[in-house]
Amino acid sequence: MDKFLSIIQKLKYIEAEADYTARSRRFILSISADREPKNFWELFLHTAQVGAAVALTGLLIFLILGGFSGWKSLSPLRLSSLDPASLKAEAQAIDIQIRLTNLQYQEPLSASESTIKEAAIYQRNEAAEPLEQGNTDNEGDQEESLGIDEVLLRLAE
Amino acid sequence: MSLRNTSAAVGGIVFLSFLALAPASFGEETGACNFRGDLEALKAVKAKFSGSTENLTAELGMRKQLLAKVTDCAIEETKQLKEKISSLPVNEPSMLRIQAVLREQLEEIVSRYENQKSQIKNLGLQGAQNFSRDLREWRVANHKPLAGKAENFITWAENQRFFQTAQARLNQIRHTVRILKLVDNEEIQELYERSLSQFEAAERTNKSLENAFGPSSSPEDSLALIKSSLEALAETYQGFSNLGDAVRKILPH
Repeated sequence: MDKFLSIIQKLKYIEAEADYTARSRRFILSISADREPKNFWELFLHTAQVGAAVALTGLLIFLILGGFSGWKSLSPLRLSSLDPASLKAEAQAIDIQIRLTNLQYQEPLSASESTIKEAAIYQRNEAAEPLEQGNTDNEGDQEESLGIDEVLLRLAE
Repeated sequence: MSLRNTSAAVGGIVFLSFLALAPASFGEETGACNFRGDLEALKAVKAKFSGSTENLTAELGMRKQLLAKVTDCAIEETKQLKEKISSLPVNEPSMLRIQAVLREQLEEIVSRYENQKSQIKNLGLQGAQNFSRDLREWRVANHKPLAGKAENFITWAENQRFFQTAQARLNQIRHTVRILKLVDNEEIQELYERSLSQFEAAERTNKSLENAFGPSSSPEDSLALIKSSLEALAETYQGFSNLGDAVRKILPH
């Protein structure tokens, strides 16, 4: 009986080998002993690898499932470069400048010719009213004035 | 005798009356460089009197006064044009060179007018007529071509902002097209390439104006290039608009 009791008392000292215990734990937790970081740099690299894997997975999910909805929300921003209203305004300004160029004369401008050009410049900047209206309003004034060359021609007679 | 003396007295009185009225009828109502009223007054003097020395003296006085006014007007217009040239905000070295040359040439024109004006007081009636003819011929051959070039230069300088705006627009569109390459649409690529080549053509024409203001160039040369560059730029914007329409068709709504 005493012998039996002493054997039973020894049972409480029974334990697994430390190495076996560690290997089993790692196996259960799926952590390789080789990949365990031994210093700060390896820990940093390990963390970066895990983070990159998570980020790429998220991006893949986004592209597969959420990509089209995200494209829709980006479209208005991307197309500001091709906005019809602003393109039209810029094109109109160029068109008015072409008309101003057609109005240029060889001689220095007289006061009435300057009025026409200043009206056209105002219209270019506003990109609003047509140019011909300004021309029509000043035609009467232009006929009443005589420029330098016309005067010299008359004085030479 | 007494009749002749009476006629001379009447002529002198009328002449003095015209001079007294001159400030009202000889320039103010017509504006600085509008001479219709002045010419009509001269015409009236010539029509009213004929033959006598007093009449011819009156006519000569009016001619000299009108020539001085014409010369002053020409000087003022040239100075204003020179000021417009000087105040242009140009930065390109080629444009700065042309600006300096034009300024100098306009200054020479002013000097020439001032020299001509100093000769008016010594003119007789025939001399005044010859002076008018010679001055007009000189203007046509020298002043007017230079003034045309100067006006064209001003327009060219103003046009640079249109090209800068178009370049910025093209850069934005390039960025957009790169993203849309995900869609890989041939039509969009083609429209973009066409807009790009149109803009490059406009730029080349614009840049060629650097050589269009030399002494052998006429104002017509620079004006034609300016118009051509602007028209090419207008075509570029039509291309942008077509590209925008194509892009909006393929994007989801």
